[in-house]
Amino acid sequence: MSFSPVPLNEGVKYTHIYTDRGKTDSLYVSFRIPLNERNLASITLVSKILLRGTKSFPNTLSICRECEDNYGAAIDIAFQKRGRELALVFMLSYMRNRFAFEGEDIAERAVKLLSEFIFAPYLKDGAFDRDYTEREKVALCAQIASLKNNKPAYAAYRAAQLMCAGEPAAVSIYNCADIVRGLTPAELTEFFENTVKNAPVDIIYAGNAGQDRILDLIKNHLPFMLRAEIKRSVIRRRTPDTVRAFTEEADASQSTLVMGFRLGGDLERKHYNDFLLFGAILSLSPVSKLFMNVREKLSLCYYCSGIPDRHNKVIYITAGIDAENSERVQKEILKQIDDIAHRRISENEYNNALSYCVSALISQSDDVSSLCSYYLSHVLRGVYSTLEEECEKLKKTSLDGAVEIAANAVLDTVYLLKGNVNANNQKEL
Amino acid sequence: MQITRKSFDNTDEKYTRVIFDNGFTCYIIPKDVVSAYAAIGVHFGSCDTVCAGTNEEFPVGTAHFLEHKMFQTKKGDAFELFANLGAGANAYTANDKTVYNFTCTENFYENYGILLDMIFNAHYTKKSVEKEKGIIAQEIMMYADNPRWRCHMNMLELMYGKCALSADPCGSVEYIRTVTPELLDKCRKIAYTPDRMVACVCGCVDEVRIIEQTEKALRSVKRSKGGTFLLPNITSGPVKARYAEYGDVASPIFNMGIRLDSGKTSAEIKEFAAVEIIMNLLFGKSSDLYSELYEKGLFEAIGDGCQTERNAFYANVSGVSMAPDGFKESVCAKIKEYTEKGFEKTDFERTKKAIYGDLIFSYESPESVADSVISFHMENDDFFEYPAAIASVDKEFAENFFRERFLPENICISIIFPKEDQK
Repeated sequence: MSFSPVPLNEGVKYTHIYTDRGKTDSLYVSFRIPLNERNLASITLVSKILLRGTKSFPNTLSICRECEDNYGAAIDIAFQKRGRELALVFMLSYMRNRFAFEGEDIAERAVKLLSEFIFAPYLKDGAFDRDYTEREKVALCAQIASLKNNKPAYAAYRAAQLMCAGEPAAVSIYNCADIVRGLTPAELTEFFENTVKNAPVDIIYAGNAGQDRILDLIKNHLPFMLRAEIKRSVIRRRTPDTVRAFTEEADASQSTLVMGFRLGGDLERKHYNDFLLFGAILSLSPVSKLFMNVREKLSLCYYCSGIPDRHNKVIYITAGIDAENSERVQKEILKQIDDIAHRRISENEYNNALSYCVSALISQSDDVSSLCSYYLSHVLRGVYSTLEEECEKLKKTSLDGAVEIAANAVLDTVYLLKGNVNANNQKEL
Repeated sequence: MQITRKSFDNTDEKYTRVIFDNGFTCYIIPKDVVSAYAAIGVHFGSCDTVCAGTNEEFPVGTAHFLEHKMFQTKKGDAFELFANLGAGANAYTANDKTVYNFTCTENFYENYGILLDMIFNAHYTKKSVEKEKGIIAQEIMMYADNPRWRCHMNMLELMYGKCALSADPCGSVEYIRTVTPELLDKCRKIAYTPDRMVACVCGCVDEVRIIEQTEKALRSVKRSKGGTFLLPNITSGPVKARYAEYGDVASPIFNMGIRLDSGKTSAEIKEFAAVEIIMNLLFGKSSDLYSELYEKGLFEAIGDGCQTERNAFYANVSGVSMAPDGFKESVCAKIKEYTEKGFEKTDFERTKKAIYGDLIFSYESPESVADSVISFHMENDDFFEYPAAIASVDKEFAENFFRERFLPENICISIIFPKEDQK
């Protein structure tokens, strides 16, 4: 039986997921806004400033002490890029009341704090505190610069930039240092207040409390007014006619290869499970084609894995390799995709990949916060079938869709971050 | 066979521990979940390099190489066998242990059978050992390129000198080229004996069936006493205070270590609990020090932890800082202040409450529970007693430990500055 979110107001929906498993509850509040670099820079910086203080808890110290005193209740703020949209998600998790030492109401106290983050952040003269803002800009810019410390992540970022320039897939916080530096407390406050006032809201709860109890908490502490839905626009993507190759150098002993492929199909809905299966056969299952061939059979790498991006219909295959093996690795990766496209998939490979996907899906229900994330992603896609229903659908997924995805995969960009350091530099402390 | 059952009313947890006649230990922790996780830990890690008595040597990298090859069995590649039954398997090698695990939502008992079989009956060929060398060489290079990892290893070397504990558990590219199937066999014979192993099964499992299955699998395994290994040859102290190098990093990164061991024995559970509370009081986001140093711009991001491995016991804090030496100086000043004044009672009690809450969170995950049970067991402790250990640490105990061990001569810092700064 599919579930139906409860409309709390126009543009504000609530989804209640009851589970008896676990010892904690999760409550997520998500806002959707259009994705662009300015919004991404603003939201990233605001999420850091919000954690610096609320009206009742005006600094990090008092917020953290409040959380600790409430048995380690945790509030985090995350965002997800979803094609043209950006979701800002407040994630609250707290221990269930029955484990409290003195019968305290952990849930209500935690939701009150969440409410302050959203409706009563710490402001001075109507805007975010200037010192907090400036300090968080420095921290965010340092975080942006530190991408180069992680070579595989840096290579994946560079490949996406080169391959998808001008498309949502290339919108990254790592491009936004200059925008971040220029943002003012007044602009950021206006941006955040507009988001809270106008952006569509989805609230998801997972835990063992009754729906009425949570709706009461929402009514008392999260009073969202009506707002309009945002219109979804179509993404324009480059159609690759030739493969583009880029090589850059880095101070590293290992080289990182990234191959970016364009994919077809409706990967968010109609071909959702086909894409899961394709990803599992190619790179995610424990015996995927890339693992068994590029690593195990040919010993060319320690890792060779896919980074799927269904919203933007691309997949990046990345591997840490010796630069001299680059062509051999590329050839082998292409061969594995070609094998899927031509149905050269054993029954074992198909069964293993499918059971990997099913197992990964079912086990989401074991962990309350995973369950909450799962249903949030469902609601954001506009899909209202339960995890159990999705599981039944997934079990019936044939090879045809995965084969079609592989057949339509087009190599767009090959990026090599070439290491230029001898691995055996000895040091003496 | 000895069976012990324990339940813990305050956390709503229970387990059964079975010690089989040949010394193999198995914890069974049923949970109302759809998945199940099983792990077998072998009390043999990368820093167990010299066998006591025989003086046979297994240089750093051997335990890790063996971990890669243990998945080869007479029935085929265990990764494939697990996958055929819908399980995802993995393994890791730490300084003091090697752990093999799988998780699944179906065919649990069949998968558990594969795990038990591979741990006692691995079967690798010369060809497959040769093939593995290319893969491990790439793994070594991947870690060598990770500045945080390098910084951590340098910190360990400052604390413990050049020894097995401060070496990359994967070994060096030169060493792994010399590894042979015969060496791995010899290592397995000494280190992979049932008395050095502990299994933990957590999730939707049936206790009786697990006991029967384990007992049956162990019937063919002789009670052979495993070898003992010399403790890592760590320096007796004091630590070297500072090491810095230049690397491809955007801003300076650091790892500050506080050596807490006596060099002879590992930490008691109560000492470990005290250190977790102390590190929270020093570096947690709710600490005065965190706010002071952050406002002064002395770090951009930090994380802390504490670790006990064999005869080593240390705490560390790592992160990004434009002025890592200034960070260390301020931390040392704060430590001096707390040494003189002690901790605030309200801060102390609140921190204990938060750690208790975090433990309740961690009990939700079968993986987290089983891995912790194995780690605590290898230190002769009980993970489920840890909340009680936290509760038992009073302010006086923590302050005494703090005054005794958090000494300036036990503190070191490893730094990697951006290579541009060198110019």
